[in-house]
Amino acid sequence: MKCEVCNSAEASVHFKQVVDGVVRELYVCQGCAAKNGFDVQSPMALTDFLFGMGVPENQLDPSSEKTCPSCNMTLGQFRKLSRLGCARCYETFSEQLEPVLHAMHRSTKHVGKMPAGEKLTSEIVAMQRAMEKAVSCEDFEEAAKLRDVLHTLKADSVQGNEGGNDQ
Amino acid sequence: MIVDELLKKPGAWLSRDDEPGIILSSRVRLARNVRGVPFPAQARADERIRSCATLRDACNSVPSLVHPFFFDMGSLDPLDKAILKERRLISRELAEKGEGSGLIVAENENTAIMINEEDHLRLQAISPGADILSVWKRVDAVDTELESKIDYAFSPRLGYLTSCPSNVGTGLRASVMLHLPGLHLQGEAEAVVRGLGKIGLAVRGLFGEGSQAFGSMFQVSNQVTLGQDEESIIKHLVTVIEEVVGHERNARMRLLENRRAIVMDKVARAVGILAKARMLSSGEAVELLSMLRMGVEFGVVTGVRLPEINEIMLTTQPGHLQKTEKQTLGPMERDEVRAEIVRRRMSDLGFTGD
Ligand SMILES: [Zn+2]
Ligand SMILES: [Zn+2]
Repeated sequence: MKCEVCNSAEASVHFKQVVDGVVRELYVCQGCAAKNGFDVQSPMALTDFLFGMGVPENQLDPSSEKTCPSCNMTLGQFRKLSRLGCARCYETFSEQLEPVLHAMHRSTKHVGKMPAGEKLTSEIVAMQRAMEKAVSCEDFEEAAKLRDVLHTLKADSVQGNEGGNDQ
Repeated sequence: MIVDELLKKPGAWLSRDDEPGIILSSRVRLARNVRGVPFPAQARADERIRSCATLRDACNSVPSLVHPFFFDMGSLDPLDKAILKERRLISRELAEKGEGSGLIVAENENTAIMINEEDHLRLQAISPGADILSVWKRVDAVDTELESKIDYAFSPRLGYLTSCPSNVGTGLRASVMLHLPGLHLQGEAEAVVRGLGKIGLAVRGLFGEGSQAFGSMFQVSNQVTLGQDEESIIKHLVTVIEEVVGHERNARMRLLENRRAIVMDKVARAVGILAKARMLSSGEAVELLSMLRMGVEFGVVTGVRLPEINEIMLTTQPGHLQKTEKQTLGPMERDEVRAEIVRRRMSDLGFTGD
């Protein structure tokens, strides 16, 4: 396959490029990859490449540019730096981030460790859903059981919060 | 504790005990941020200074960081920073920061936390040898203790939120430092490095800039942080590393069988130059010490142990060298002093080069 940038050398680097939040596959040669700052040795460079090759700055309409309400980072800055300004940016730029995360990690869902408080919260949410489902199926015995478990979890959660405030 | 105190110790990332070689050290770091506070690069200077103080207090009270000490990037001189960098306690990025960024390090240097580097917190643990699972457990414990004091920026869907999306999820980067002279001399190192890249691992040279890797020393780490849990990430790395170690053993065996004269020549030359040279750049020193190390690992050199080579390698890095000499030296003078130190150590060990 020929390089999609210079259209002459044989392509040996395969990218997923993001333009306006859409993933575009890209096959380029070593030379063109290097020219765009891509270094096979460095995982960061792929990030930079993914963000950096987006729409040229002058084609972005500044008035419609998305800005993070928490840290004031703009979409343009985010593209240029390939770094987010704050945790809230993940929501603000979620549309742009989704394909980038997918290209980087082949996933958009966390499955690892979570802080104890978060774990409890997510257990409570899951339990609540299960209880609602039991009620809608008119399995009231099951629902009552789940309600009791939920009470205990909520009590733990309150205790946990109090513990947190002590420190 | 001041940076000078560290110089009396061997550094946590290089073994002070006899080791089997190939795997120099294992390291795990976790990126963490505080909810409701902009990431360091987007924060104002006063915000950074305030958050650094708060985070320092929180980190200082973590029980598993034994005898923690804080280094303020605003008050360290460049030489002190170089030493922390050479001891693998801080990154180049942190070294470039000033007030509002810092390092908390346990007395034994095996656990440390960078404050306000790219993320608010970079928790890191390091041990010599192939100990990555217990290194992970150590940093995990520090993280669990910290989470009762700090409200982490966490999303149930995306996990721990980080400044760079390449770290989001677990925020975990596990890496292993490898010495691969066998593959290097067989001309197979590059293929192995390329292969690792294809299965989602990053490889970079341990010494030197960019693609120039001195001394056949490489650092291999995971790239994916989202969609896999911590143990899977580490197990995958361990499996791959075992395979690489197998390739290296195999390459060494073939070398000794088929090209023994070349191996002996490389080692003998290294010993000769280390014992006699009047000028040694840090790149050349690493290169030669790698050959000497290979000689010891192959059992063709006796009279020096790997920890002693580790020590020479660390103390001849530019920062350590100048700190020991108590003066800033230009590159030329550095090369001269380095050669002198190495010559003396070699002669102490009984290598005269004759
Ligand atoms: Zn091309
Ligand atoms: Zn933001």
